[in-house]
Amino acid sequence: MPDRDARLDVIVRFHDIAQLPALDRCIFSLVGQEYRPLHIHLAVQRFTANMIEQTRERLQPLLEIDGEIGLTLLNWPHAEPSDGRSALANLGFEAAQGRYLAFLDYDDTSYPEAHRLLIGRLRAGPAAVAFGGICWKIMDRDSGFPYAVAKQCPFKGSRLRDLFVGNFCPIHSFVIDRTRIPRQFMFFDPLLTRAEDYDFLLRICSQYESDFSLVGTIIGDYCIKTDGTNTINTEWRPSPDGSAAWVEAEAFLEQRRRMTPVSTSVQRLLGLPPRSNLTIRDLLDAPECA
Amino acid sequence: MGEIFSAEKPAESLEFTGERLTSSASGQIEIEHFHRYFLARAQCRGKDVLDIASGEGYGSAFLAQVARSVVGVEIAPAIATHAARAYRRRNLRFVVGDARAIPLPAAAVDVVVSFETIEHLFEQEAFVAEVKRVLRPGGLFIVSTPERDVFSPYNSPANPFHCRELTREEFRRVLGAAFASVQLMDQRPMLGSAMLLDGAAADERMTALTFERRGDSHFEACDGLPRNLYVIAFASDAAVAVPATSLYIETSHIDLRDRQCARQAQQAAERLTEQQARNHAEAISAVETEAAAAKAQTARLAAELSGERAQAHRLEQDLAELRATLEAVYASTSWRMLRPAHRLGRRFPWLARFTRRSIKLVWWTLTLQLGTRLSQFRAARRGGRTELSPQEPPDPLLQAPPDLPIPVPAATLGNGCSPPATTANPASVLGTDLVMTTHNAVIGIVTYDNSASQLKRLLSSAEISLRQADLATDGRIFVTDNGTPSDAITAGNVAVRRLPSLGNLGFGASHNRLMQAAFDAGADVYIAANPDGMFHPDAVSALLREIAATDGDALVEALQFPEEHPKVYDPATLDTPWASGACLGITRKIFEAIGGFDESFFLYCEDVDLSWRARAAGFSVKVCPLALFLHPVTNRPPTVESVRRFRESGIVLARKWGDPNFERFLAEELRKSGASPPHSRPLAVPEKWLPVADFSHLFHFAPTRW
Repeated sequence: MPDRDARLDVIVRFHDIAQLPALDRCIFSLVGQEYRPLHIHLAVQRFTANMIEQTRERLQPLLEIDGEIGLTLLNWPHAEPSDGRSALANLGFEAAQGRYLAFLDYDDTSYPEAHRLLIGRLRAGPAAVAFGGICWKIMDRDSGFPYAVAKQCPFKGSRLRDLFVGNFCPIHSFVIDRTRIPRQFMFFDPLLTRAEDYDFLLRICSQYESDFSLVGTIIGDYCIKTDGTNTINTEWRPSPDGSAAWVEAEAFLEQRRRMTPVSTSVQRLLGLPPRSNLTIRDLLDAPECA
Repeated sequence: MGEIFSAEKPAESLEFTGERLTSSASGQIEIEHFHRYFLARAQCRGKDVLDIASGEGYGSAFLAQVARSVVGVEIAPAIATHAARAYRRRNLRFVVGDARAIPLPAAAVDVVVSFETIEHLFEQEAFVAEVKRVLRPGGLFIVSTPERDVFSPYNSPANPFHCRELTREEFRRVLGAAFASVQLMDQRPMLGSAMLLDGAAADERMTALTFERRGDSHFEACDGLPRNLYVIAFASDAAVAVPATSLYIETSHIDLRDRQCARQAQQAAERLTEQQARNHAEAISAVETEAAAAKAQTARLAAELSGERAQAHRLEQDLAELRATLEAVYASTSWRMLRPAHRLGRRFPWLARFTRRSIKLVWWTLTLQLGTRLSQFRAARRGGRTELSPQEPPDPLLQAPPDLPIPVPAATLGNGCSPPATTANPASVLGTDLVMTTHNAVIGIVTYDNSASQLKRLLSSAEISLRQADLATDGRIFVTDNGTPSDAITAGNVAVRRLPSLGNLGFGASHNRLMQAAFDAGADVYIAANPDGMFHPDAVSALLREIAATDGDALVEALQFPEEHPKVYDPATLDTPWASGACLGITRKIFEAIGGFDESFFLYCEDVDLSWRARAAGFSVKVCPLALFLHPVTNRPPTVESVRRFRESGIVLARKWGDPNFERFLAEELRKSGASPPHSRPLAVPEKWLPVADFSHLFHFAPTRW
């Protein structure tokens, strides 16, 4: 296809048909993107034919607004894993064909200029991934509609080292240039049901150049629901199961830091004399990298 | 070799999901896995063995039949527990562990077996290093992987459980980095026949002469095994000896499959017959039910008809009686005497009303009801309802304000007022519980140098949103230009009705022209829309519902999306201090009562002024959270021009709504930037209206949520 050189593929993961109104807002924010060409890969988890039809019917008027936006619906039909968030992302990775790739979870929104700005950074330099800023929007749904109670910016960090320490870049804060990252890196680890996107970022950002120059520019909202249904732990009713899963994920991530060598090119960008087998953990522990 | 061995079947099988083989799976995938384990089993006699990613445990159990000891390592605790329960041998145990950090000491085993695992791992080099660590010197690593070029050709759907698939050469490289000797074997599932030389001649010939069907009438002959799906490696620092050929013969399954097919066909036929019988029975039952319902309906209608006939008879009798009474009245002396007064009343209705009220006053005085009646009248007047002096629609720009209390939103909404005493029902406030009658709504767009793509997108979204609200679209979008002509962009669009441009009149003045034209054309709601925005398909419908829920007594703004305006609104009543003109529903009732935008404002703040006037006149101002209007306001740095315009409009607003401090502040800011305050001085609003205005939050003109 002639537009593949510039096409942006956006992977949207969706697992609960009852959340169609939220998905509708998410897709509306994608239809409102200034960047074109854009293709949406909507990956759904174990949907029946009826659910797929409902989803298509709900989104059809949105897609009619701009005939240039395509949407492919991908269904994960297998019983395992029960939490298929990584599997859904991997379906999207495989289906993506354009040069640029981004994510947007069904309950979040991106500002209209988000992808235009990030792709602008990728085009302006050699980075393989470009990051922007994201805010929390605290949403109350008791009124029968999403009511924005407050807006906060809790994600603290501004550079690669900060990302190695902890995740301050939500899944819709970045765009990837697929021509700059080999295919075998493009997956979420199926063993993870928490922080799978952060694990992915650790792997690619330790090997390839990343651009954090727009981290101070807010390009989207992370919707925090006061009914406590977010995956991440928030003050709104974190579930004990969720917390245990986070502890497990953190152990996995620490193992990733200890086992993943930072490429010499990334070490140079961080101003370090290149060393072989310098892992992410070594780098964080090195005094010259503080 | 002549050995007969058996596959152990666990009491309970794990469900096969595609990620790992379980004993509930059979067929080709089982053959492939069994063959690899059988081959490994032959290498494990009398050895200490580690089976990495042992899964359900069937493979470890095969190995344990001949090995000294076998440890199965599995990352999923539930699966490892199941394996330990399902396969019990004294020389076999299962532990939970990660292939990248094997829970065994160094040099612990003679053989490590790992089938179809390496492609699930990203850190393959670390995995191989771990295997090397736990192997004793000269130990053997038997490992398999799908051949990526054959298993996952370009554009084929990926196996979502695989992190990093390898080509044959990549596989050899990964192993060769850790082991001195790597011997590869190719594996390919097939249905065919095998011919092998007898033992006497086998060592002097080529490994295999393979024939493969390559189409209906073509065959390919080659040496060795082409297009192998899997590669199995034997890696060791010692010399590796493996069999030149290994076959797995599955005749029993082929026979079984034939029998299964026949049985399945028979079962399918039986199921079809049963289903057909059930369908017939259901159809007969449905017809019987329908007949019974029709019979009951006939009886009910007959009873109703009989009742109607009796009622008609009674009405005819009543009518005859009334006619007789009327004739008696006309014939009476009193009627003939009062006939001139009746004629006078019809000609002068005010005289009739006056006479009736006078008679009532006299009657209430005579019957001592006068005090009570006057109290009731005063109470009704306080509530804004009176029969004696109906309120004329005010023109707030020219006339004194109506003598009404000014409704304001809750305390959180500013102005120091009390919150409403009652909690509103969301459905009734949003109008989602209404059965909608058709609205005659029009969308108005004032363009200003917009790009073709921007305007086309807005028009497309407006049409879709009108359609979703069950409105015909032809001529329902009114457009005029304040900047570059957009005729070429809207040409041929039958939804668009254009008003000729009169130059850049300003935002409010141009919308007023469109609004007047819309209401003249019979519209009852005008929806102003910014030209750089986009309607959600449900936006128009949601706006009209909420407007209908207020009986047309509210200005209703769509919710700016994805970044909302931060000003407050009450989630129960949806009241807000003012409504943005970016996407605003204005009813004919409000337009006729307070007029449109004040044209003293060229750009900005005219919507704040309109909202405050609407509230001062007794109308509500609301947000419609179900009506989304995409408006790109984020990361749009203000220009010198836009800042100047804002300040000028702020000064006009302050002059009109009596806030000299705000005016002075902005005038000073303007002077600092080298500009002068505007000359426009609109007529100040009456003092009674001033509590509506809020200048304490600068250009937010309201408290904000963030």
